[in-house]
Amino acid sequence: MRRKPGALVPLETAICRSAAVMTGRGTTEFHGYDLARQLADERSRRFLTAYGTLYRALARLEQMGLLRSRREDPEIAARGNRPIRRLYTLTALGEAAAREAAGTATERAPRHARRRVAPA
Amino acid sequence: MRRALLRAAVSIVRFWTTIYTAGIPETLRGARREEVESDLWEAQHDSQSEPIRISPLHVIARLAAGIPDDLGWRLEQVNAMTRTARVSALVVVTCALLAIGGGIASWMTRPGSPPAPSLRPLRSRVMYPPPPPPPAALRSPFDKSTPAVPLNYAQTSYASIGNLPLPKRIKDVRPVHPPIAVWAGVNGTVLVEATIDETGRVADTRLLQSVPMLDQSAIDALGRWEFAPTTVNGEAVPITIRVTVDYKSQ
Repeated sequence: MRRKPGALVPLETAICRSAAVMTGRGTTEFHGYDLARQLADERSRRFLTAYGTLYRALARLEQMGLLRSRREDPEIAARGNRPIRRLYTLTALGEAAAREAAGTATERAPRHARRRVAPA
Repeated sequence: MRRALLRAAVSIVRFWTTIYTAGIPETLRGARREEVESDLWEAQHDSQSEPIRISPLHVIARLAAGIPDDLGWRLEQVNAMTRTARVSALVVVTCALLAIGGGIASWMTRPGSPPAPSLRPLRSRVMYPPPPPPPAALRSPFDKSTPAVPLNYAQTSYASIGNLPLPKRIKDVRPVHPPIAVWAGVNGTVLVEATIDETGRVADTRLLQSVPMLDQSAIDALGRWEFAPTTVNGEAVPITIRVTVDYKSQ
């Protein structure tokens, strides 16, 4: 089923929320593996999100303007003797999407709380 | 044994990434390969991670679960390409699959490989000694038993285009020869046309001669060069230069 333009799938919403949590902790720039670990830790999962799923979602979020990315300075990567990272930042639009997702999650009251009072 | 399995799993992920990004425009292809490479490295060097997350099984599971999305991403990129580029991409993938088939066939029939049960009698089986280990320069940078890969830089030179004088460079940033390219033995010359604005900063770059794995390093370095403004009749003018960036492993 085709998704509506601008709509986010659950993984993309989860990515925005995780990115907002990391930004709130002071990590304004993060790479894909950081995000995968944060997602797994938040959902108490042992396995990380698949490579294809994660990076396709990140590319889509960047296209939609919820994330912004840049390529790390090659000298920094070379000094650390590691591959160059692609660093993502949550945009204002992404923060709004994360807040909206968080608000929707808390507004939805659990079913057992809505009890009907039986007549006496 | 576990290290060998992990290396094999990482190689499989790299191999699959090379396959499904084949024929895609260089910028997108390079970016995706770099991201996956970075993820693989981070996972192997994450000391705070749960042990299962750096197991070969986990690496393969992350690969397998993401294959549909990899193919979906590829389809999106191919659909965005022109017809000519799509045909080229198809040719590249077909050649890659033929190369894989050929590689598997030659590996199966390599000297010393066990013969098919009904084909050769045991007496005629020839055993060859194992090949020598690769030289130190070709070992993976992820191999902790070897020292860190030294940082290599490219040599640069530039010339002005047209009748304008050669601008004086006041800030030089040497392009790094990416360690992953050094390990893969990728050398070459990248030619870039750079436009310098009135303030002496590089405003635009255009690739004239591309070498995969090296282009982005050249463009990143050039983008940070600064020149003394070029003046004509006392007025600062933009100028275009042609830059040669020569990557050669030592």
